[in-house]
Amino acid sequence: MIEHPRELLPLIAEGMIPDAEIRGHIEDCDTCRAALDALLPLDLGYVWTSLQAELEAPAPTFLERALGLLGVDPALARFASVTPTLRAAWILASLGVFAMAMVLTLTDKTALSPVLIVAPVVAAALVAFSYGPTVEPAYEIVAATPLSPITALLVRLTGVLAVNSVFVGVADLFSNGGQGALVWFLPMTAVSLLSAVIAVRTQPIAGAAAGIGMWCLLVVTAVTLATSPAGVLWGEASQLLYGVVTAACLAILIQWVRSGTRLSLDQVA
Amino acid sequence: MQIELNNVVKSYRTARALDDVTVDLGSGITGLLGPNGAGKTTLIRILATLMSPTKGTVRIGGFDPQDARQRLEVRRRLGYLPQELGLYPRFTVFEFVDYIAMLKELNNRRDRHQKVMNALMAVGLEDLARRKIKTLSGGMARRVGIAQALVADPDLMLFDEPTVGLDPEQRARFRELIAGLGQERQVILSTHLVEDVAAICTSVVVLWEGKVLFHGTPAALRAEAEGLVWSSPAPEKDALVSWRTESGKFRVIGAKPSHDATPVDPTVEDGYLYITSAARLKVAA
Repeated sequence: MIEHPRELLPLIAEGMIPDAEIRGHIEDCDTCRAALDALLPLDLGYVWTSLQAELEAPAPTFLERALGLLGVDPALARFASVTPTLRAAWILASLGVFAMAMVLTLTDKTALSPVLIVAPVVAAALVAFSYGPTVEPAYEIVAATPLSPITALLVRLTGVLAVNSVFVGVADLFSNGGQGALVWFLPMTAVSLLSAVIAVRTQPIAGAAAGIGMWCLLVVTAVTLATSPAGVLWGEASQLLYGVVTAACLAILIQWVRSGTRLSLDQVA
Repeated sequence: MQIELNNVVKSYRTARALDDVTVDLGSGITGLLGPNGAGKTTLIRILATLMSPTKGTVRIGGFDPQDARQRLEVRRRLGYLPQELGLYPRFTVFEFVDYIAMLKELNNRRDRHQKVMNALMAVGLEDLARRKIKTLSGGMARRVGIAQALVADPDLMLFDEPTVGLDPEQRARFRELIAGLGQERQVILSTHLVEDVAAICTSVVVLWEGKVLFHGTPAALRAEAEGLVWSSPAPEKDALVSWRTESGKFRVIGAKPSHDATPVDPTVEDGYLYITSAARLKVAA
């Protein structure tokens, strides 16, 4: 039990928000409440509601605080923190996939790196299920707020790709010694944005299936037909192609969302 | 906040949800009445700027929701409770309403928290602010939905089937709440419960198969069935509608039954049943 914070009461009356322990004490202590009432005879309701509100307000999550340190707007940080595919179940599943890929990569150094092969697969799934009417619990409510749908989509895509990039980077470092040297970034981005385009147009499952399917087809074709599959999958010409696909998908997404014809509720009506 | 819809059509691949809807909605509380599939949710979603009409024009407070900048202005003035209320189960009640308040550009943390608490108090959830949403009953979750719609003090509030899942006492409280809100801002609520409309609405729009069948006051809707409602000892097969009441007699809407029937004063529900039944009969013919 703390002592009566008499010296703080005038400051609280002027609008200072005390720490949680003192707020809790004032709420429970008739003496302090009476003293504060005497200091604030005119708008007690406002003060008490403010105090109660501060008591009830949740602390920002770790992700929100981290994004805040990077200068991200608190509303966008909160929006990013509720991304469905950044929840524990998805993260653990992704980590499991990368762990298995790392083991396989370490087991057979001569084969194509499974870490680099699964990078676009995991990203495509995470991106496809990150935003939209069928995966966002409060989608209708959120969509009716002033938050720009383009911003919403890009925040979710960026957040998911950033998290996946960390996973791939770490897995690549520990299994290939970092030899992947970012060759995975553009194919991962291209495949996941392709998934996003199709997910926005249809359903998340279709987006994920299309992106992953196309990537798998490319891998199988390269392994079957090419003398140097790694060159086909991650060579300079391929990187250029991935860059073009990335730019095209981004342009399509922005155009659709800006025109208001996609990410609307027509597809789930 | 004036709302104008002119020749609004909304088509899906296989169906026409709204068919040439032209209606002006002024201040007060407007009830959108109609059976399931009448187009109420589509109309509410268009007003909530979540859908675009296939044809026609919509103006909300003078803003055109088709234009991105004007759509943003509408959203800044809007509070919306969807029919299928999705919430984040792991959030607390306060956390969820605070989250939506953040997205509604309430950037000052202390002011926002104050408004969140005020909204929770308005719906009687202030003592449950720390409860996880997943532990709430359906009625409580609905009140969270109402609180998030209220939190930014909007000029226009849209409620889609707001009393679904509420018990009779909660419905009565909700009506009181909406009646209070409607004195200061425009409220549009969609429902298939006529008693909700009769209790609190200042105007009614009856939708049927995507068309506007009626637009006027609840009293005018009641008057539609004037002289056409009867209390009869037996069912009437030629009536537009006929059903057994708690007294054991039958309430009959239509021309005077052949039985020993006595005329009774119509209710708003009678007016609604009369015009929708007459429309159904007209289509069948």
